[in-house]
Amino acid sequence: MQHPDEGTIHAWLDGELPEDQANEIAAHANECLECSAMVAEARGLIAASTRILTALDNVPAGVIPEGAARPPAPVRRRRWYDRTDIRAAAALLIVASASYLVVKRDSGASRETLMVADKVQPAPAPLAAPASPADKPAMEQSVAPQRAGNVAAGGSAAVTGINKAMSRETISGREAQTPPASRADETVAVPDVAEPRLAPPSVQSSISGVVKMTSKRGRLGDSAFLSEKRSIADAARATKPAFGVVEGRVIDQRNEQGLATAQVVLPGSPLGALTDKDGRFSITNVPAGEQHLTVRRIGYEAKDIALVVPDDGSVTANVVLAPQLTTLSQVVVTGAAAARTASSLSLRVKSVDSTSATRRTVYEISPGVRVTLAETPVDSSRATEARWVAGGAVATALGATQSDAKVAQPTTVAAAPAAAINTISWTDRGRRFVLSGPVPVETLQELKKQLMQLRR
Amino acid sequence: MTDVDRLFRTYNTALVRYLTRRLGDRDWAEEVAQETFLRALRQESLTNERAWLFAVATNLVRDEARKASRQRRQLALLAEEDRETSVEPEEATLERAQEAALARKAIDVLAERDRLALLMREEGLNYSEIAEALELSPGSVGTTLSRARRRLVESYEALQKEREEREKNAAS
Repeated sequence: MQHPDEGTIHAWLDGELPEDQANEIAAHANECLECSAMVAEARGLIAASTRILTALDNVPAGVIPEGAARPPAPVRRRRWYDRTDIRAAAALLIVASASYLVVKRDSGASRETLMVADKVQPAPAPLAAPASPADKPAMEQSVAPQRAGNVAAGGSAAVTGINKAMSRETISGREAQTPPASRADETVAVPDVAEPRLAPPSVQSSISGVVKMTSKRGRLGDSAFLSEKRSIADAARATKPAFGVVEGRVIDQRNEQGLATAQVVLPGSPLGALTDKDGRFSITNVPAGEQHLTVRRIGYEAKDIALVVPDDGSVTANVVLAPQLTTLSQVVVTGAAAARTASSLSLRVKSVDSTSATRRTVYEISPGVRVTLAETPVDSSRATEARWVAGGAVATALGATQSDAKVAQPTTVAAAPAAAINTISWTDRGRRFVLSGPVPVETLQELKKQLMQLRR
Repeated sequence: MTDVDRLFRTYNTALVRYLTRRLGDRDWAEEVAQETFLRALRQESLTNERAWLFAVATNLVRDEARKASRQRRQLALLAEEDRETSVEPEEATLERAQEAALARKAIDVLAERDRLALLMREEGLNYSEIAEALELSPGSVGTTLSRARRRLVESYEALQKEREEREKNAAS
């Protein structure tokens, strides 16, 4: 087939191509060195774009002035009741007080106790979204007139009692006194009617649902009422989809520095991130609640941590990774190991590819001069032959996969001055090494010595 | 539960994030999102609801942007007063703020259509939804996205390099 253009590759990686076309491209990219390089680049661009765009979420918030001393704004002022969480809390409060009324009335309470229900403290019930510090003044202000005394039942207890209370009412079908509820109607209905444009629809509907409920209460005694009430309680609970942000830093135990390109994933979900050069990561859209985080990086012990993600908030997870001693012997060069090379030739790692059985590391020993080290387990049948082409270390290992070929991007290596490529190879502890580069064999031998030192 | 409840629950998070990324202002984004859902309320039925919501939100942003230029001067004045009473957000470290500023600059380099397509894709819209919302042909979405991504990453990296060099110069 002819080479796919960049747009098609992106569409393929985005999973937006029809199956037959996708298969065709997959097969082609597997064979065509050029296209597999393009696919690798596109993957990189997609991942990098997502990371850059995630940084955009970091907009300053919470800059609402404290205290009421705000200049009269020609631009519409955001009022406390515009806040979705406050609305949710208000809806819950109403549901709570209404159900409290029901409970009280059922147990033969007098009118006086019914009135008390309106004064249920707005102590943040576990279900209500916690108000941020900036909101508190407004909230207290609004509730203060109502707050006369403590009521034995807290908001949450009342909410959990809803269903029980309702079913009892359904059975009894008793006439209700409407006056106690009318107050509750006012508290929400006013802001809602005043600026209906601003209400988040779901809250709006749940509030109006509550209003409907309280006014209907006396007349309705059927099961429709029961289900309506239940759905209101659900709606109030789920006003916001419960998502939070997990962010933090992955740190190397040895030097307490941030660890780049560590994978942070939530097992069992498509969510995850790679850490940046300072070891930082941020995962948005994490379902709120208890979550597990797995942090992995080659050369380090994977770590599993449990955390609780707040709804609409963020949780910070700082993870310290310890070097994995068992794999260290297989990893030819890690960042820390490179730092230990103190002899005549510098071994600066340009690129490493360890996605297949053959691990390739490109070192820059002096500006522009690169040598390539290929490392294969001796028993591996996948890479039985490696052929090195003069002018660039383009590998055509037999049975090499797409990622094998990807490293040896001709663009990277072909830029090096054309010189005779020398190759030496050896076997060490069950692994076969092939070192090649445009330098004398003696230099390669010297490099080999250094590399082997690093392995010990 | 009404249909708008469901729409709100399903798309609010994504829509607000999309708008925040586009506008750089969370409060503004939430307002636009709310307005979008209210418009949905007035619709008889929506055939492709996600594309519709994102398209309406995008149009509202465009309308708002016109108003915004008029209000900017007033806001500058207000901002001056606000500064005296406002509290600095704690969690926004300098570093992260810089990163965000860099990302903002990088995305500003993109053409509007490329930018919107990319932001929509990030919220999980598929190609046909993006095509519908932006009135593109479905076949050109891949090309649009690939161009947008390349441009974004390249400009981000260029800006990053520029900043690093500036810092180096400042240090020496």
